[in-house]
Amino acid sequence: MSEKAQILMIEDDLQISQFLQSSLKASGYQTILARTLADGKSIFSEQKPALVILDLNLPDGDGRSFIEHVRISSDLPILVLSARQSEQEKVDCFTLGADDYLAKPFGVNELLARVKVSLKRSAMMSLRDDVFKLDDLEIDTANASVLLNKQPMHLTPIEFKLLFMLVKKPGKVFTHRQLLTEVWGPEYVDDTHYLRIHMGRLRARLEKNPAAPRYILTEAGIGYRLAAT
Amino acid sequence: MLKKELIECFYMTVLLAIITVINYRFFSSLGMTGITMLYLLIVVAAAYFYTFFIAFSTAFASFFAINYFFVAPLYTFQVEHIESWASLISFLVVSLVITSLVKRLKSQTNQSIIASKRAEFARTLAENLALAKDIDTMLHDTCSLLKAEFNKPFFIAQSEANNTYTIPLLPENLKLPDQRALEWVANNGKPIGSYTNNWPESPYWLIPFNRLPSQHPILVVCDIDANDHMEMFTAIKSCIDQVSMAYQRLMNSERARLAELMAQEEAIQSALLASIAHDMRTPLTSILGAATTLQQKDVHLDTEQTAHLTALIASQAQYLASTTENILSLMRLESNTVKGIPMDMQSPEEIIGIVTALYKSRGDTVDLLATISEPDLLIKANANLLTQALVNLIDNAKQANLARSNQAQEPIQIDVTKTGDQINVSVKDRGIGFGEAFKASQIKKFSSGHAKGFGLGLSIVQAIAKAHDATLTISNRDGGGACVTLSFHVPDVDTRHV
Repeated sequence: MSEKAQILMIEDDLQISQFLQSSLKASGYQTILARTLADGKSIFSEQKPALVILDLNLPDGDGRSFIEHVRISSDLPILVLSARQSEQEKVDCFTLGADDYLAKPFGVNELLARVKVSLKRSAMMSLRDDVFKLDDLEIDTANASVLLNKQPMHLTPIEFKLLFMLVKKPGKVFTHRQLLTEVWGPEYVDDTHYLRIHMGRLRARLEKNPAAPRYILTEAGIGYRLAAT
Repeated sequence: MLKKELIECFYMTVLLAIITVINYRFFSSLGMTGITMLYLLIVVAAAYFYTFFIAFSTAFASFFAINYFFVAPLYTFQVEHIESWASLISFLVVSLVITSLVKRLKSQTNQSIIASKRAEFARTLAENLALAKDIDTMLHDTCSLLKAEFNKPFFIAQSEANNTYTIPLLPENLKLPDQRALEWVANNGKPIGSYTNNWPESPYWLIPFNRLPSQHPILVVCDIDANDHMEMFTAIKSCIDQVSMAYQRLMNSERARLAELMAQEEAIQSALLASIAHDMRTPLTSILGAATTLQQKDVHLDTEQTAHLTALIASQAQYLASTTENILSLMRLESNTVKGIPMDMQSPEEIIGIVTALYKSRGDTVDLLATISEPDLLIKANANLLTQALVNLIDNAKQANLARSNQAQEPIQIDVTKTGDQINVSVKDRGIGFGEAFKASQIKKFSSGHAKGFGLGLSIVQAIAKAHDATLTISNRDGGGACVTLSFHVPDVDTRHV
């Protein structure tokens, strides 16, 4: 279904939107372009796209308000593009509910890979599949089991909680704050060292080479996500 | 004050009574002359130690005591013989003259003691002012010195950007001047307080550094009362003249230093701009050349040539992107204070993972061999900056390895070790290494060891190290190659819930 997916691009820069459109079309997606936040909102409610590529810096306001607007009614994947690089801005986007973030300048291959992951996750969500499979890793949330090379893994309760939180939305970035609140409790939101140490141990169990991880990916200064493809 | 005078009066009365008893007991042997001399002694003592009033009163009391106890008719204030009158009057006159002379002598002695003390103080102050290196320390030390000398609370009010005056280290329980008074002093260049024509009843002295209207600091002397003499006011005023000169000198040298700094900054900026303009032209020329070749309709390129040109465009654009990122980082680091950079605990393993993913996303390959000496090692850092530092070091290492491409390629080694209270992250290559004269302290912007590139790489790593209070050391490896090490302090981590 993803090959025919309709993608809404909210981007005011002519050059960028042109190359995005041609790359996406070449990859078999349908595209609709909105140049302003207001247009984006109206197209979103009329056409119900499968994914949104959103620029944050728009002539009629901040793209973050679009994420808020969408999340009231929909769970569709939102991929943020921005030239701004502040960590706080990225954290804000993920907290508001963005699925992914790409800083400009970016390569089109990178963008297409992210689009594919987001669409795949969205499709998986709709199938409500309880089993996540990627290479040698298999996570079954219904039976609370983790298999690596078909061998059951013995994880600590915290490692289980972390992994199950990430597997809820493979490919989606979970912020440090979200993970700490969910696993340890809201009073531990600033204790990022707990997260580092447990993620390190989880990687040591799951990854062949923890310094070049295959499954648990780190977003610098933001959080973690589970690789989806 | 009154209590002190009453006590002094009491002492003199007791002394007078004792002398009268002694005189009475030994009247026959002492004679009239002896008695008079003893009374005169008390008057001199009163004049030397106590006030003019007490000395005067003692003289009159002695006069009446002689008359009452020792001049016939005894035990009356009447005088029988004319010679007794003469003696009594002479005693009174001599006592009063001696009192007056002793008082004057005493006052002159005090004045000369104070004058020498003040001269000594002026010398100390001048020495301090001459040695002062910065304005704040100079003002602070001056206040301490004045306080020790004059035993009063001294403060310096300084004008803020909005022309209001503030007194740093606000003292408690002191009556301080209001803004209006301070502004009046600043606007008129005249002092306020007793011995001036301006608000003489104020409980403080306000003495401006500058006698002309200005925004220069103002000296505030608190707890001023009627006992504080004009001499003190004049002495403090002349001290302020000295301080003001030192202040002017420091202000001028500060201005000169700032101007020099700005000139240096401008020179660096223009060198940076020139360097950027020069180095950006090379990849831009490649991109433009490749793109226009691809655009030409009459030129037929084979698949391999097309692929080569597109790869060239992509790699040069990537180079421009990472260079722009480096320049932005350097600007951000230089404009940001350490406090402004968010930092938390980072796992070196994760950072290496991010770096690997970054190269992969660029479509670039890098052969890394990471060794982390112990699990659970954490560094307090900013993830993006640390990633950037590693990327820069790895880029340098890659270039160094490529430069010696005739040899078998060894992977770039990243070692994370803990030694004492330091966590060391080292990036090692098998290139030509650093020249003997090249030391970490000599890393400067634009000093690239390679023909291509801004040479910003190591400068940025150094700036990142500085922002993290980490040290950057460079060395050459045994068997050839360079080793660049970033050493971070072991952070204070609460692992109770880990």
